[in-house]
Amino acid sequence: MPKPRMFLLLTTAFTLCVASVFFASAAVQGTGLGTPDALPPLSPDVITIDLPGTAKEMDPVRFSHGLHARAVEGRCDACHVKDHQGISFRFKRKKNDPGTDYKALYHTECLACHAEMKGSPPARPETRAGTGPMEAQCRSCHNADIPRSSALLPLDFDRSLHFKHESTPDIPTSPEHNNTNCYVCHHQGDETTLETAYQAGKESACVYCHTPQGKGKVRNARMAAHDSCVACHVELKESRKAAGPVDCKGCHDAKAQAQIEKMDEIPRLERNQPDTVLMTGWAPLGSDADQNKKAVQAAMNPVAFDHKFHETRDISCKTCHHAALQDCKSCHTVDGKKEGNFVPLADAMHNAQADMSCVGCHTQRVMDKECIGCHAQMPAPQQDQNCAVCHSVNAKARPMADLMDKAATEKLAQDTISMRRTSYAALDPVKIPETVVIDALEKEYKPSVFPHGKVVKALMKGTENSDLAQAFHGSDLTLCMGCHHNSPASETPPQCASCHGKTPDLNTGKPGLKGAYHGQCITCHEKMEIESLPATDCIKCHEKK
Amino acid sequence: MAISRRKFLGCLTAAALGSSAVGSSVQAASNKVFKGHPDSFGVLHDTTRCIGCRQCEAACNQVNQLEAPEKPFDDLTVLNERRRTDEAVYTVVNAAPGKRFVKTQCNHCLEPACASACFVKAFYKDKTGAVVYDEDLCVGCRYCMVACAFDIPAYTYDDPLTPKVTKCTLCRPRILEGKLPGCVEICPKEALTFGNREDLIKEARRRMARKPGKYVDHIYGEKEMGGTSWLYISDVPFDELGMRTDLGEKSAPELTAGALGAVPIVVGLWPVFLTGAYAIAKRKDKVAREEQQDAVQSAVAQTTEELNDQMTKLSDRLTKEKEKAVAAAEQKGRNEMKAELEAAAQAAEPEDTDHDPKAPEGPGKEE
Repeated sequence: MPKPRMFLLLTTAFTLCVASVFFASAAVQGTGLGTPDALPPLSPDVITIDLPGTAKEMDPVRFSHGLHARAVEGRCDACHVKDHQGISFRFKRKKNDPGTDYKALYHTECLACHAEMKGSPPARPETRAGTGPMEAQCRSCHNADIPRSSALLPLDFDRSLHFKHESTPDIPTSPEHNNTNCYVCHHQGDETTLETAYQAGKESACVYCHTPQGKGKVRNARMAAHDSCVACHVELKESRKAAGPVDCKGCHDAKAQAQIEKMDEIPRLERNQPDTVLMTGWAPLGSDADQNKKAVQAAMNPVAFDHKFHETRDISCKTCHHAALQDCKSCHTVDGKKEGNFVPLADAMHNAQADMSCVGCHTQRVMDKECIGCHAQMPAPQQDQNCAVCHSVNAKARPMADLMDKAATEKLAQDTISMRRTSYAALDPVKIPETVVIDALEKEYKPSVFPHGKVVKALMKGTENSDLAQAFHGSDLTLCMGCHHNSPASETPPQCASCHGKTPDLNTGKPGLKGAYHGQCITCHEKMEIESLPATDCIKCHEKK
Repeated sequence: MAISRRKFLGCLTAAALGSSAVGSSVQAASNKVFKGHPDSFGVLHDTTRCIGCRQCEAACNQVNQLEAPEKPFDDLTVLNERRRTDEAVYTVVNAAPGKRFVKTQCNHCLEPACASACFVKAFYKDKTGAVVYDEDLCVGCRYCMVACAFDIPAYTYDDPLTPKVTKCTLCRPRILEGKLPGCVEICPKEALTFGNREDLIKEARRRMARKPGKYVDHIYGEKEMGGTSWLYISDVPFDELGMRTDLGEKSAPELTAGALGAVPIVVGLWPVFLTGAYAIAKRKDKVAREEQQDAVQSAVAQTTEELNDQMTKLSDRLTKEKEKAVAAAEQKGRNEMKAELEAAAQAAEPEDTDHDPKAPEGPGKEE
């Protein structure tokens, strides 16, 4: 039958024709900027335009900022308003006025530019094929099916980056401000008049006022950062000075962030902070000596906190001072009050789930690969277990004069800290057995020859550079307790089988011996990512009989 | 005439609805929830501990003397695809994203759907906690396979003479000997813990409390399908492990008891219903027939009467008309006679005009 074959041939020919025309036009469009289709589906420069107060008939627009920045050759003022005050990174307006018809604004401005780019004669012939959708092509922008979303990575403006800005000659210091350049970024603002002024010694983290959602008339963190940082970068770039990134990717892309140079020697940030703090559990002492004595007697032993040391850790001021650069107790009183969201002092310091509490932050730290092998298997930190490691100042035995004023308490804290040992003596290697033969469960497999010495050395190596371990472990015997847990620390701990029976104990939740061995070893290997010992490769540890 | 099919089905439905309504109102009034036999056993599967070594599968195969699988138990590539239990495999371990594994087998429901669906009682919940299958009673209808929410029971289709349903036995024979189930005994990580079901729930909660935030705050099987003897805890939502999370907390029998409870009643009252329905239909027919006969008779009588009436009337009318006609004819005859007589008289006595009218009347009055 020739007819169906003819039909097939014709269809194929037609399809090929259509396809070639399509691809040819795509190739033409592909010149210059690249088509929106060629954009990566995940990019840090995608901005979702979802306007407030508009009827949500159409899908929000996922706008590629990078594509448009290239189209206007990096001229920010093509879309953003620039005046004597600088540049504002809102689209075609200086600020959000309640009366603004955003829909009209965006449609008018976007489409006008697209039309201009396409215009005849074209405004810029080399990119004319790359212009955006025109009127009535609604779904070219408003389309939820376009595979495009933001892969924005928040920028951690860490101490290294802070110091870079502090020390660059491009941000001039001022003799008026003690030869520092802090005044360029830091300011105190009036929430009603929105006037800002620099006050030395009151510098704080931006987010205290410029909260992520914005607070009243105060710009949110995103707008504030872009209006300040990017505007400054643009300005510096125009004057041909070294400048930070002006595009989205420069700050918000993982690769770009990795390329930001880390400063080695970062001097301490001076902001009138103490070197040491005596963290006390009593309300501020008054003039009544008896009352004071009672308060001290009733409270938990104070903690000598090494503030200066914690500043050198990989954290910023706002990690702990999450709402304001103030004393913790000014919001978190012993009983809790409204300013502190009714979180009492003890909870604020010990909440294991909170990033800003002492215990919470330390709990995060033991998630490190070197620590997690042992710590993953321990129960959640029990506050009642090792209070004395931190609460070491025996205030009740001190003369009241030591506890009265700031200088005295700081000195007491300093003295306590200086008495702490900075490292502990390692265990005598002779006392560490090199191998241990585990044969208690021998059945299908031969006894396991456990390289005990090797494991201990690996753990010691992993912890020797950890200040947290040095401070809290107390001794190498603590390290032993990673496995030889629950019995008192000892150089000759009891055998596993002395506690773990054949089957699990459902009264106490204690695993049976087999579960204890495999649980301990395999969990540790998995958590420490020891790839050479996969959990299911039985003969790696004990040969088959 | 017999009862129509439509009417008969209507009767049956009404009866079923009536009896199920009775059943549910009884349930609604009780606050009794079956929580399993006291001190029955179960197994707690802590999926965070499972390493996917398939030792449990091997032990199960050995304990139940099942045929050797195509691929040996130390071949972990089988974990790449999702498997289910079949007639020769009572338990399988399946992998889930993030190096997680979950063992699947009969969950030994506290109120088993298979047992409630089985009409010969080949399944029962044993005091050990096991849902026990008795192949001597089984008729091979495989309703249990349809009823099971976990797709567990399998059937030895390739055994034409003595086919049977197969599934995990909770190693009941071993439990009775004081041994652990095969899978639990072999598990190197103690991802399976055998014990009293109540203790296992406490143990699960203890593990959750020991590690806040580690586990999903849910014990799968504590309440699913009315509770199961196998319990699961996990650090990811259970649907991510490929487990059903749409089952609800009601046991299958609780959901189906109303309808299924109606079955014996319907079956028991079958003859009564049939006889009753038949008698009613029969009586109706009889009554109808009698009524019909009466109606016919009365109609016939009425018609006869009416006919008689009409006949009478007609004959009366005819008689009258006849009389009238006779009278008229007489009159006419008389008149004619009179006229003739008069004519004759005039011819005989032409001058006698004052003729005596009575004279010729003589013969006219004869009747």
